[in-house]
Amino acid sequence: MIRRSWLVVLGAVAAPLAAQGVMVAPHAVFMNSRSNSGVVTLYNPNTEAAEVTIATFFGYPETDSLGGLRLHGMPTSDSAGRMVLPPAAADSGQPSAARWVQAFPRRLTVAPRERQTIRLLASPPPGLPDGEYWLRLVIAVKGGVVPVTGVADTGIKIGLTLEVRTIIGVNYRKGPVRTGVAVTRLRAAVVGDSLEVRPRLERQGNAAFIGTVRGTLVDSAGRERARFAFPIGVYYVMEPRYVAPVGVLPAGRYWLKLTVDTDREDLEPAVVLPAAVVRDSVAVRVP
Amino acid sequence: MNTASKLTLAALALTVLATAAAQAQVNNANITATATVQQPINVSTGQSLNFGNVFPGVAKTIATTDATAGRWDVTGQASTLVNLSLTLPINLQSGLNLLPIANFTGSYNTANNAAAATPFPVAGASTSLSGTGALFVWVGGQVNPASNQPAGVYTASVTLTVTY
Repeated sequence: MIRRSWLVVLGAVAAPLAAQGVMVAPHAVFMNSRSNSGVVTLYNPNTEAAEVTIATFFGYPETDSLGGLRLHGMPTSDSAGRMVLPPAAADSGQPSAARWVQAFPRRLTVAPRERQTIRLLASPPPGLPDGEYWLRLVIAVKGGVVPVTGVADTGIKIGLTLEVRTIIGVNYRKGPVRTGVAVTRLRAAVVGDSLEVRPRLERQGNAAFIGTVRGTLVDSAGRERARFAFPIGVYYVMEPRYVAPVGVLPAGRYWLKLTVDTDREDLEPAVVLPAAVVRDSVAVRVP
Repeated sequence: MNTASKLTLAALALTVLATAAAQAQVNNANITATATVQQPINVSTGQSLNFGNVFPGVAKTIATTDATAGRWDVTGQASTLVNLSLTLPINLQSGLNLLPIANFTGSYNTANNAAAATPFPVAGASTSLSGTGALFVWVGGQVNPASNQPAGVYTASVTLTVTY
């Protein structure tokens, strides 16, 4: 009761920060040489206007040594917290569209419960070879300033502005493109009450593989003990680490069956390149 | 089945029904209604990082599990791998005066439960959205005002970057 009373007082003196941020759709943009254009819609579901800044750079997802996702070409920040994009030369020799795909507008304000459109326009250089080209779109949203509060005025007041940056992929396709994926070095182990899986995924063809990694753990009698599905985008080579809860398993021999396909619930079927389903499996011992 | 495909099928079914009705009547005209539902992503500041009152010479720490820790809410496609990173200030600023801020901590959880959240290095970490596409991220830190810290309103920005 005492704690509840304290919280009531705290709430009375500290006006909460209204939610800030915008919804971004789609979460992956696919452009082609027929239209040379793309659209991203921003919607502000909140009660305060959102200041939005748009930036583009070359990058693609990869995995670190532990199997975590990271972005090749990830922007950094200067001492003032401002975003620093990688230099243009960083995409040398890469299938980069960052130099010739522009986003408009680059600064905008999205009013409460309003939507705004970001247009992507491509001006590819003459003679661009067939293939898929990539860039990343940064949607930076500045949030509201924390209300400065206090019962006892110490003379020192603090207000932290919270910001969010959302980075999504943009893929530009010219001419015939094809994709696929090869699965090698499949490893799996039960650690505690979780199943840890690490496959090596290598893209085939000339376009990123966009699909889903599915796994099923079965026991020696063929009974399913765990199942998982993770969306994946393989641009070159990845070794992601997947963790799925399995509970406490009896000692024995199990099999992990892995499938990589191009089924994606979250993307328009028209933008997902078809590819052969790839399967692999590995034995898992639980001591 | 893909959501967009379901809607397309629904629209097609309506069209077929309307066409059948039109064959029995006259002066009817049909239109096809279609809609595409796109899967959005949303990263919003759910709660401020609020240090409240600060006294000169007295450091104040807000843990990620404190009620006044900062929180972002992330929603998107279920089970999607994401990378989280924080861009953090070294100082809060009031005019030319600086107030050091340090010892930032970050944590995430697929449920809105900071106590059970997983700590992550502010430089970056990889995780997945939940089976319903949710993720919560908390941030805490410590301000260290000097004993002669000038009075003022000190501000800075804390940025969460979410990479899909």
